[in-house]
Order: sequence, then C-alpha cells, then structure tokens
Amino acid sequence: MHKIILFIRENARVFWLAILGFAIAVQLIFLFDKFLSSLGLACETGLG
Amino acid sequence: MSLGAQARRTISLIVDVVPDDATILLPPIGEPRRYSLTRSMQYFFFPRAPIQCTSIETDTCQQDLGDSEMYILATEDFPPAEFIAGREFFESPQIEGWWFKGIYGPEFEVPSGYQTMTITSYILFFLQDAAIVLALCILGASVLLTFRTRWHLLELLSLAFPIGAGLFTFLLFLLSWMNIQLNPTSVGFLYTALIVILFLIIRPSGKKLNRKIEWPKLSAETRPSVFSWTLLIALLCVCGLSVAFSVGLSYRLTDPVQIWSVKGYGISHVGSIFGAKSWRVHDLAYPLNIPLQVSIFHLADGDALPGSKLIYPLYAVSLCLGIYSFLRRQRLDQESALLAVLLVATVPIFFFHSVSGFANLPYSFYLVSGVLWIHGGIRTASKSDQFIGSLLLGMAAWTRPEGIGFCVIVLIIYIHLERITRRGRLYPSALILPLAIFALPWFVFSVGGPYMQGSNLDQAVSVYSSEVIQGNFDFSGLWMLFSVFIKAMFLSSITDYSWGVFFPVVLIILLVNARALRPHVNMEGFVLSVQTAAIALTTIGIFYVRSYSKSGYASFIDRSFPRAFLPTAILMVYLGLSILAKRGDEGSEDEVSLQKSGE
Repeated sequence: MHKIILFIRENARVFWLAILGFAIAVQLIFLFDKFLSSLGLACETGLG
Repeated sequence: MSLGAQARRTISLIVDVVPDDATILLPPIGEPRRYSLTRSMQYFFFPRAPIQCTSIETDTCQQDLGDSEMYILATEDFPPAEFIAGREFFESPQIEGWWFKGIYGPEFEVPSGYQTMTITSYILFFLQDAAIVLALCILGASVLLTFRTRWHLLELLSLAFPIGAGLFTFLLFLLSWMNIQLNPTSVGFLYTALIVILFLIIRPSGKKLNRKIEWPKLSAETRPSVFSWTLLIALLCVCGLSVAFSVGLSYRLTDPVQIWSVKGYGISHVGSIFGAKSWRVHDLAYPLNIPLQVSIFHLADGDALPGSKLIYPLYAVSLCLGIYSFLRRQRLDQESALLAVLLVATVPIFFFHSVSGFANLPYSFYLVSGVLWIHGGIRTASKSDQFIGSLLLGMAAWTRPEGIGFCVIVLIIYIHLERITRRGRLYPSALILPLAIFALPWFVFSVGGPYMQGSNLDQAVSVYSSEVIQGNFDFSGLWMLFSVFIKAMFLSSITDYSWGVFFPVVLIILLVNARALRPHVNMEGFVLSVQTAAIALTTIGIFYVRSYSKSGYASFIDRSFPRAFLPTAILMVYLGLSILAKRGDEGSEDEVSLQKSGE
C-alpha cells in the first residue's frame, strides 16, 4: 500500500513537471511565432 | 527598428537640422501616423519642445503659427499659406504617401546627414552602460552585506541591482529636493561617498562575501542533471533575447515614451527632479525611481543605445533569480524550480514587460520580493530579513504611485496574522522603519507639493468618494473587470499582452493541491495565500475606484488590468510550486518511515 502511495506521489511529480514543461513549450512557440514578429522586426511596419 | 525606416529617417532629419533649444509646432491630427501628439513627440525630439496645434482655427494655434521663432512641421495642408511668408523652408526628400514634406523655421543647422553608429561606438556605449549597471550592483551588494554576514550568491545577485538602483535614486531625489544640482560630478561624488561609507561599515566587522551556494539539497540530488542544464540554457536564451530586444527596440510605446523615459531625460537635461515636471505626462505625481535611473544613463552618454533599457530585463532577471532562490529555500528540487522560473519568463506579458520599458515589472519585483523576504523573516525570526523585506516594500512605494497602499496592506496583514497564528517572530521596527523612510518623503513631496493634486489618482479617488457619499454605487465596473480578467487570463489568443497558458496551469496546480493550504496543515502557505488574495483584491479595488471616473474605462482596463496583475500572478506561481515542494517533502518523509518499518 505504501509502495503504491509512493508510486503515485513519485508520478505526481512527473505529472506536474510534464504540465509545466508542456505549458512552457506552448508559450515558447507563441513567443517566437507571434510575439517576436509583432515587435516590429519588419522595418516598414509601425509608424513608418 | 520598431517605428519603421521612414519614421526613423524623418525624426533623424528633424533633430539634425532643428536647434536643441527650438520649439516645434506639430500639425493637427490628419493622415495616419502624423506626429500630432506633443506628449509622445517630446521623447523623439528631445530636448526640443514640441507643441500641439489641435486646430488651425484656434487662437493658440494662430499665435504659434505667427511666432517667427517657431519651427513648423509641414504637410500638404499645413501650415496655411498666409503663415509661410518670411520663413525658410527645409525640404524633406519626398516619399510618396508620406505626410511629412519639410520644416519651416527661422534658420536651420547644417545637416550632417544621418550617420549610423559604428560597431566600435556601439561597443563603447554598451561598456559604459554596463559599468553603470555594475556600479549599482556593487552598491546594492554592499548595502546587503551590512545586514547579513553570509549570503547565497543567487540571492545576493537577485537583490543587488534593484536595491542599489532604488537606494541611489532615492538619495538623488533627496539631494535634488534640497536644490543640489544633479550633474556627473554630484552624482559621481554621491556614489563614491556611499561606497566609502559602506566599505567602512562592512570592513571592521570582517563581513565578507561568501560565494559558496549552500542550498538545502534533496537526498537524490547531487549535481545538476542534463534536464536542468537544458532548462538553464533555455532560460539564458530567453534572458539574452530580452536584453537584445529591450535595447534594440528602444522606447516606442505610450507609457515608456510619455512617462518613464522622457522624464528621466528631462531630469538629466535640467539637472533637477523638477525637470520631470515639464516633460509629459502626470507632472510629478508618479514616483521617480525609474525616471532617475534613466537619467543616470542619460547623464553618462545621452542614453545613446539606449542603455537605460537594460533596466527592465535586469528587473526580470532579478525576479527570476528571486523566485528560483525562494523555491529552493522551500526545498523544491532544481528541475521544478527551473521549470517554474521558465514558465514565468516565457509568459508573453512578462517577456513583453521585460523589453518594453513600463514600470510594472520593476514594481512587481519590489512588491513580490518584499512580501517573500518578510514572510521568510517572520518564519525564521530574522530581524535582518524583515528589514530587507520592508526596504523592498519601501522601494515599491518609490516606484509606482499605488505602491504605498499595497505595502501598508501587506504589513497590516502580516502583523495581524502573526498575532493570530503565533508562528515565528515579528520585529515591528524592522518592518515599519525602512518602508517609512522611503515612502514618507515621497508622500510628503507629492502630496505637499502639491503634485498629486489633479493627478489621475487624485481625480479617481475624489470622484469615487463623492459618488459613494451620495449613495451612488455602480457595480458595472466590477463586471467589466471580471470579463476582462477572464478574457485576458483564459480566453484571449496569445498576443504580446496576454498571459499565455500561465493561469490555467497555475490554477490547476493550486486547486488540485488546495487542501495543502489549510492553516493546520501548512500555516506558512496559508499566510502567503492570504497575502496573495489581499494583493489581488487591492488591485481589483483600485481599478474599481477608477471605474467611476474613467470615460474610456473599457479600453483602459483592457490595456492596464492584465499588467497590474503581475505581482499576484508571480505570488500564485510561487505558492503553487511551494505546495508541490511540501508534498515532495511529505513523500520523502513517507519514504523514510517505510524504510524504518521495513527494517
């Protein structure tokens, strides 16, 4: 029983880490795809 | 880079041929992208003073047009022909579809032609700016070393720049308030005097910087794993990008252009904090921590890069280091702590604020770090930690106008909860004194000035009070706040202003593990969750008060509310991950008990 509890808790950590990792991956993709391009790297956009 | 090549050419041409002490009349609003807003163009034409012509029919505009010393930006329909006579005209190279045709004025300087800086000059400016940053870090570290004999390097790094910068700008403010001119000599003298005094304080007691990092290690953790290294490299890449974008994009958005940068330039130009009054907007109603930091860079090299944009990624890095070190204090393993930091660093709105030049991120650093240092200080009965926490709260009050309200609420809650829970020990003098030292002089200056009078904060409170006294309650503002919150946190597509997937993830962690925050299970977590809720409610309260007086309230909260939630969000992620750390500890305790029972 204790081993089962331990197993679940051990995997719970992996579960939370996986969620965090997935969230970071999603945010990184959007950061590069949308945010960085919207910052105005294309020089003829924006005010001018 | 961000305004576009044509805008850059036009602005460069204007500042090239119009003398520094000139006044420039801007055309009325017309075609898109016309330079018609004084409060924005002050930054781009600095130190020339632009003035606005709202309409040709107004008397003010007619008078300005008649002024022979005035420089007038010309478009196809401005200025009217009767005002052209007797003026010289500097014609701009014509670009089809571009509104700017040239400048009318009394006389022009010989154009030097727009010359881009060479790589060598970029490097020299960067080194100069890096030296300023290093000097402020040394100052901050020296101050911190007077409080505690031993420091973990990462904790020291997390606090060094914000404490050094906050303290130095506060002293500059006091000097200038006493009518002492701010120039390279007085600023350099103040810095040298501070360093010598701090050195004399530190040296006799033999306090030295202990560079050994002694995190409480978990049993299975001996050295960083490949995964930890990967996360660290990803984090360094995000930080590097943040620095490159922040400096590369310069100032370009409303608040950074109209408040935080140009006020610093004004202070440096005039040599006094009162210089910020004539440079838009809000006069002297906003605290001057960030503008004075900007003014140091402007004094040194005219903010050529602009080096002052290094401030914002530095606060972001300091905040990341702070979250990491506090989570490690909670015995969270390296990988989870790094993941938490990376989650925060990649949130679009966090990254956006680390490159854009708003004061919200520096303010969030001070408020969140202050809350966490006091929290840890009460738990471990450490007077110096409580002092550092209060110092950080004082600097939060010295960074944004609403800061003082938040800090007082944070302190009241800590004092009450310590009395109820009887956990740890609280030192009232260490908690109140540093905050009072920073907040009171600014409060007296801004209210007694009276620079607060007529400010947007003053107007908001006045309108709200008068309506509430008359019994006119309007809760529609709360509903709008709620809808903006839901939209920004959960429903909006990911843009540079959004929260990405931060809230769904953090709320899941908090809700699933909510039982771990019950007072009898985890008193420290409970106290911190009360603080987090109080900061969230205060943020909502401030925006609710403003709902009574803002005509464009919907667009205002759409723009401002998500960023005002930064401190709450960062405390939420800290709370969520510290619960996981506690659960990890319980797991290890179970493991020990199992091993014992097996024996």
